[in-house]
Amino acid sequence: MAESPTVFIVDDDAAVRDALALLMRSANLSAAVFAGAGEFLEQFSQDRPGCLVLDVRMPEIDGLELQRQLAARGSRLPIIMLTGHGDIPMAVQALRAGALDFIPKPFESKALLARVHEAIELDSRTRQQHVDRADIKARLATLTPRENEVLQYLTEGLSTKAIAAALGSRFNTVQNQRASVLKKMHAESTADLVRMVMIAR
Amino acid sequence: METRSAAVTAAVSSRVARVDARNCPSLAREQTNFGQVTHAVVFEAGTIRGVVRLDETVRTFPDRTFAEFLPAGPPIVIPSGLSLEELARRFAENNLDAAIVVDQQGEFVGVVTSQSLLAALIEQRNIQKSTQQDLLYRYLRLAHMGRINTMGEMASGLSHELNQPLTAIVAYVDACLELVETGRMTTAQLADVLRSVSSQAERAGQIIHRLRKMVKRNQPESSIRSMNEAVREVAELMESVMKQSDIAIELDLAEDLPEIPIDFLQVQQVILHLVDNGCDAMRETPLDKRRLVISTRRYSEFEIETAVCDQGSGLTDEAASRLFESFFSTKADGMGLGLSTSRTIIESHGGRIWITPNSTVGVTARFILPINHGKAAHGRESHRIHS
Repeated sequence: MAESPTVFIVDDDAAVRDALALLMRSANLSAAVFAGAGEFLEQFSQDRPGCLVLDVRMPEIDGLELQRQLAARGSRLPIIMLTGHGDIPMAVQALRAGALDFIPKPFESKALLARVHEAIELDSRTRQQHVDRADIKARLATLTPRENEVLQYLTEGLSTKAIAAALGSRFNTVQNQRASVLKKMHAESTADLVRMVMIAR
Repeated sequence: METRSAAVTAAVSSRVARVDARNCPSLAREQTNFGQVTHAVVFEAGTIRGVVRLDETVRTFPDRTFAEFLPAGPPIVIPSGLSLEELARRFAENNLDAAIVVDQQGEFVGVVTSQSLLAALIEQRNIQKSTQQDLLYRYLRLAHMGRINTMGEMASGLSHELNQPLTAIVAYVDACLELVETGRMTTAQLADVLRSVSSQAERAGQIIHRLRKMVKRNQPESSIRSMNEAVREVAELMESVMKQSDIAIELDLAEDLPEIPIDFLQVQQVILHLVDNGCDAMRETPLDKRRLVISTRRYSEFEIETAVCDQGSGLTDEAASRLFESFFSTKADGMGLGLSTSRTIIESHGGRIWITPNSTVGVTARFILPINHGKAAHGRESHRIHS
């Protein structure tokens, strides 16, 4: 079972950090707090699921810069940006750079928690897809060259008979190869197979 | 006969401090007589980096360094050979607040600020009267705009700072509610959080306290002047503008009024603003009824009243109750800072300002100023008033 999700809170204000962590705990979420972007980056690991609640205004490395650096490291951790009154342009920039949402301070706790739950769910979906993809690729690697060809034709929508004609093979041989592909790929049907190939791409 | 370069030198402000870029305003305040200084010229490794206006924004964040307050872009540099009129033109056209003056060798001479320039312009009697009025009018406008900008900056700076404790308080309280309601919090834990909430509320209070201190520090520089003179000057300045809008301006000034301690320019800004408002309100008024009356009178033994009465569209109840709020405006292009700024000015003089509907049509805006403000009650040594 994968690690349980963590709400990573990065804010230079100690009181805001502390209060947000307590708010997360009250919603049965585990939280980790960081006083600055540098501190967070030091401990950042791609493998830890959850979401990032980030203050857009921080000394040295601000929220937008941290967002950039995370993206450069290939992070898909969903980001909720906390902004002040006049920060709308920064918030828009954050959204363009892929932040899930921005929430102006001071906010309604319910609104923030709703977004956090959403972010965690999104993260878990993204991670699941990532796992699926890795699995499918591993399964694809077990196919023989001929099975690969059969798979190719199958995803193009050709029937077993048509594939046999195209490959110059006997119908029974192709039928066996098709069964083998389905088995190796853990696929239940040709449609399932097509879906997997799409994900792998 | 003064030479041209002497004219620019005359505009150099004596209220500018030299500071280091890495220094911060609070330190500089201890080292210099910061109260008299309006601008700081910022040096870094012997080179001029720019000029910082020591306004509310700087005073709100005394922990930052001067380098952080520097305006964007290269500093505005003026050669000392320029004429005062040319200097004024550059200031007005580029909306400058301050510029660095250098001599032909490129040596730093000083800093001209919009205030010191205005003072120099008024001093220079040989300017034709109309030009002088035109310039004065422009500068009253400029000073007004400058104030509005700093107010806006200040408001946004303060709201940012206030957001932090408020955010913490909201999150703390909501978390406690949830934890207490679901029986997951002991009273000892709750007490702990409540202490944090209390200290955050205190923090918010301190931000407000700082704002108040800052407003106090910004108290007007008073001189003993005549209100009637202030009104007459503004009326003269506005005459041509009002003629264009077909508005007749009438003065009804009581002649036996004592002179009172006021920041002349600031009070003129208030009158100018009220007159502006009155003119705006009369856009829909029939041409023959467009009349604006400015009057002064003895309001009480201790106070003088100045009133601006228009024949305009009047006020809705909502507008009447929110008039003095910052950022509230009935005008499409209004920032909603004029009246709140006016009130700040009048209150810093120990006066009051209010607006009432006329019995027939339009409204009257009036403010009263004390005759003896700052003498008995405050007794500030630096501003002793000589009578």
